[in-house]
Amino acid sequence: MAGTVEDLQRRLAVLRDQFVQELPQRLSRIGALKPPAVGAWADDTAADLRLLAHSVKGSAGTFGFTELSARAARLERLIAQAMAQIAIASGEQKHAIREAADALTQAGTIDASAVQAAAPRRPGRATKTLYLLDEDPDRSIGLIEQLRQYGYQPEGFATAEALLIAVAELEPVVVLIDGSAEETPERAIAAVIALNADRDPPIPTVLLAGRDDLGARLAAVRAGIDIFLPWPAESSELISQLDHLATLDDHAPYRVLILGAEPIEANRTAALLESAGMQTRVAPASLRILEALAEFPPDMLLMDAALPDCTGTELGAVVHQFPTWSDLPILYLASAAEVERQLASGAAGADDFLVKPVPANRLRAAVAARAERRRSFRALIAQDPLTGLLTHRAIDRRIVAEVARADRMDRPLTLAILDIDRFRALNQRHGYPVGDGVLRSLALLLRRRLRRSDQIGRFGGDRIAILLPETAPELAEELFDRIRIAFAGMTHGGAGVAVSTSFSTGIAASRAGRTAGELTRAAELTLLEAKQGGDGAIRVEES
Amino acid sequence: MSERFPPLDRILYVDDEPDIREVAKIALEVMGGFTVHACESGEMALAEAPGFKPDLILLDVMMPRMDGPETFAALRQIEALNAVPIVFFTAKAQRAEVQALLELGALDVLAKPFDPMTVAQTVSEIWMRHHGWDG
Repeated sequence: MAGTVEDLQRRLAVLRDQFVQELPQRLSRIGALKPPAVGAWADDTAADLRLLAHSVKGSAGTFGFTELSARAARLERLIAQAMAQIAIASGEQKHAIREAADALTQAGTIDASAVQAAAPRRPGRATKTLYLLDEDPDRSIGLIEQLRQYGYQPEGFATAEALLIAVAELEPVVVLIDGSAEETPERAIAAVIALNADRDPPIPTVLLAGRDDLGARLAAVRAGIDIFLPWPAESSELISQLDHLATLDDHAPYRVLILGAEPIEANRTAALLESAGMQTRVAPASLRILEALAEFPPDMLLMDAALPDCTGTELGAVVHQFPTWSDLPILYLASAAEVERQLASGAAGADDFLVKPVPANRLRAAVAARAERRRSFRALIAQDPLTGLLTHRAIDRRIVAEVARADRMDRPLTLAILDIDRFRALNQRHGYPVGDGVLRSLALLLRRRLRRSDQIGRFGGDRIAILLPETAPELAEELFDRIRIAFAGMTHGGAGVAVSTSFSTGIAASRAGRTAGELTRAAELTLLEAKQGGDGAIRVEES
Repeated sequence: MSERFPPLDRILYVDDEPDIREVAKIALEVMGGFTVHACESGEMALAEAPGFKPDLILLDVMMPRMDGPETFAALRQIEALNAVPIVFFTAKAQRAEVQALLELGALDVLAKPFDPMTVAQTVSEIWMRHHGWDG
């Protein structure tokens, strides 16, 4: 059984931390083996150093420390060249190797706090394990089945004692407590207090409450319950709240573009940020900043206020003139005197400065805060408010970009468009809130079942488009068949309403010369054909 | 689809780098659901491959002592294994090197460092293509 992306990311994070911890030791060995300033350098020392450089290159690259990997690669290359010749390494070659070894050890200088920053906040907590405390086994079974559909690994307990024993063994990501059978949820609240007594950080908790009044809400807040959910509620409401609690730590690494007057300084900054789990790129020269932005679209730009060709703020103003980058946060590194000068000239009113030298922790925090702000802002405008999926415009843009990429790289790309069967009738019969709930459930299910690299957008109404890079249509067909089965087994609605429904899917693949518009039309046409085959049909365009 | 292709389950992964070996093993197991046996050298692969009976072998090119191509040649001498497809991983991935590896009889050549998120899918696709899929 294949696991989840989150599972893999968590396990990779552990390996990455190990690598970071062992790195100083490896680098000091590299320092010890580099050619001496004077005197001979033995052949087998060279061979050992080459293997060490090769190993750092590979590991650093695998864990995303690109700068470190590039420097190790340079060192490896120089040694390989020296070893390939018959004559012993010349003084010049040895000097170059020494320098490359020094550059590598410098880039890898990582302090202990960086390792802490890169570590997940709750090590050892299973990412999808969810515990449910519910005295009523019948209700518990239904809820567990539903939670499983959304990718959680739920486990039910009938008593608070049994729950506490399980928690002592393995902490779940969320505890869900069903207090809906009680007139006032006193027992449920007592269970939460017992659960989180002396626990730091506390385990996030959700209370399903049978009554929604101020008294119960107050008691829940005082007990430290994170989410108070009047029950019964729509299952999609519950899931989105759970997702919110369970994924608070979950971030793709921030991308930071760095432009510095001094390459060594810029590389040091890059290493500092990478050690905190961010991805960085050092831009080669100020006048090539636009190329660098296109090649490595960042979440923020970090640059020196004083640059060789112009000032940082001038360059920042140029970057902000481009619509794509008009909202890119820019943080300037400046000397105290430069900041004074900028303030005096009145030019720096809206700009963000950090005075050099910036302590490592402060720099990381400042960069992360700005990158995060831009991310949340972007997510807001590209997201459909009802489903949280990409907006029509946003998914259209991704389709254009991915079609171009697939064409250029000669890689497979599949577009699937689906809609809910007889959605209009469903809305008429049960009302729009129920229809909206169905859509939200489907959106959530898709997000759970698809890869992070897949793009999901709402085309309007009940039509959803899914773009699957690196995926052939046959694979997509299999995937949507599994999702179709899961969706068919779900019930939607809130109090007093329980509906089940299905969706139909049309699948088309990109091919050489096919435009994004043509691909979209092909998928839509295939969807229409699928709909003629009855509810729940999946159809792949004939090639 | 599973009816059309023989299933890919057992993968032998050979790499001297402990970090990368661990990442590859986890990525293939977690994302691909494969059964992965990792070996730290060509010698170890030769000793353990016949017992493990892999469906597919992933082989690092640059290893100390016995490198990838040497391991490849030695594996081909083992009768029980000479039909098992072999895919190379290489950090160089230059045209001439890739060409040379393919001429040796490798099924495919993948670049290092690989993306742990997608490597399982890439391997699946190589497997399916090997069995006649033209996606």
